Amino acid sequence: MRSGLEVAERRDTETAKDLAILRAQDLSKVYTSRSGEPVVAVQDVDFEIARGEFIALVGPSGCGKSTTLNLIGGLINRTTGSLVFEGSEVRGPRREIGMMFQAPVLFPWRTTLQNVLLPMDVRGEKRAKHRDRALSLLELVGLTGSADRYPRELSGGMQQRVALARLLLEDPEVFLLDEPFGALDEFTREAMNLELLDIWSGSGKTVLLVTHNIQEAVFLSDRVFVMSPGPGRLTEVLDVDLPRPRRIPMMREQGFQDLVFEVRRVLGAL
Amino acid sequence: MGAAASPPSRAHRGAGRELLGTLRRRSYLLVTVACVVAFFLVWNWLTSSGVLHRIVVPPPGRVIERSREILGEPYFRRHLWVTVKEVVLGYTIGAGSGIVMALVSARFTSFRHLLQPYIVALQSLPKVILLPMIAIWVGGYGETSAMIIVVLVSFFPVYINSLTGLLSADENGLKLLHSLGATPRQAFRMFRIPAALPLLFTGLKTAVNFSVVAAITAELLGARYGLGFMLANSGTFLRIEDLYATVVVVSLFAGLVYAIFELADRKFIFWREDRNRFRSEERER
Repeated sequence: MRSGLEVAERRDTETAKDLAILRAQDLSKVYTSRSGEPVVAVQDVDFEIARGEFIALVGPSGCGKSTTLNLIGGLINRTTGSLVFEGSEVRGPRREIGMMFQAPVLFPWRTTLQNVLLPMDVRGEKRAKHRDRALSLLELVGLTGSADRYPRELSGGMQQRVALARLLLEDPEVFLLDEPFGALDEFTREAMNLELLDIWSGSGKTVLLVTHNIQEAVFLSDRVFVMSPGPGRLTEVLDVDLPRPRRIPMMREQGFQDLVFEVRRVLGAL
Repeated sequence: MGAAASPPSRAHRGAGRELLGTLRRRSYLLVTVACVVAFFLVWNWLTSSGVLHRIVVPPPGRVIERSREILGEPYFRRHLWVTVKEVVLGYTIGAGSGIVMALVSARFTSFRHLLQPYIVALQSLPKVILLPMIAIWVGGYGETSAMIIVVLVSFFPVYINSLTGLLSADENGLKLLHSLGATPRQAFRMFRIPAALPLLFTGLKTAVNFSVVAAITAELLGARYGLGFMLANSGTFLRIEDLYATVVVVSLFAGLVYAIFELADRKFIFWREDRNRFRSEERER
């Protein structure tokens, strides 16, 4: 017979398991370079991410941010370690995890609407069934009336909005965003970041955002994962205890600036 | 230009620039037309003044007249039909198998490697030199040998371009489809094939030009039917007007075929990047 204590303990671990949507242990990725030498892209990364968290990944080029994201997205296989999504090992791309890249990656022969509907084409579902939702998502990202336009008729910012609508149509639990607004100008990027926050808040979705921009990382996230190169490691995790909703004027506050300073210190950029 | 010099009212300046642009575009057109007219006038003068003997070069008016006559003659039509048939059939077989082989090659690497040496060996070979061999196989110079040459010349540009297009699909698109859980088969259908269409069409257009040239060359070299035969025959018997008229018909035929493909390209490959780049430059000006 099990004691009451044991049962309570089990419940505790179960709740902890439920809270963590993603868990990585000793996660490593080793590539073989063209000359045949092994290149360690990511080494011994450990983290636990709770459902609904907004995580920012920062670090200089070559620190393994994108590799980490590609591992979670199931685009590449890990060399060692474990990576668990909702209790099961990640072994390939899955519906619950969606990705967005620096390039919008729209197909030029598809209209905006058809591009948004791409995930449903892949699933083999009828476009008509998802048309209304696709249209309302286009409205959400501020592209009302552009449904029948082709990508070449849209600006860079608009193209990235289409990519966002496409990701939202997929409706994943985890959003993996690999510098999605990195190629946009400063103003557009800021506007897109605020929109992203609006869409995310209250959605209960988990976000992992890769960025080069420290201010952006602190402004958006609940926690900042700082990575360092050679080999790529997760060096430090900083909690961002700023109130939500986040608004631009908060960037003037001492608390915000201290955090930005702290990230810089960890990155060794001081 | 008076508008450009006037005080900077915005509408005024815009109108001035537009007018200037229109004038510039019109002037290009004007120069082009003037050159063409001048060419025919000089040609006409050279023949009517006797500088060029009518046996060597007929006057332009006669060439045009004779071209129209010749198109109405059943004898000429029969030869025209032979060439059209060779081109259409040969091209369909050549380009069609080029597309199919490219698809198979792109999908199965081992097949591509197996094919590679033959492709490399045959690609740069001038296909006409195979004509005597082909003639022996099919029992003489004629429609069949010409058609086989057309098959050969139209296969390569289509195969090479389609394959290049299929293999050079953008990594990001494949990454996106992978993340969406698409199978390689789906990625092929939804991305690789449409992404290859612009290059495929370039191949189709190149091949169609080659086809007309190849058919007529093959006919010139010993066939007894077709426009190539007409050219050779008119030359031999010094029917100069027929010779020139045939050249006109061949040019029209080649031009028509090219125009059809160009239109199809514009319609089906509306997203073609090289053309769009040109267009957006035009717009910016």
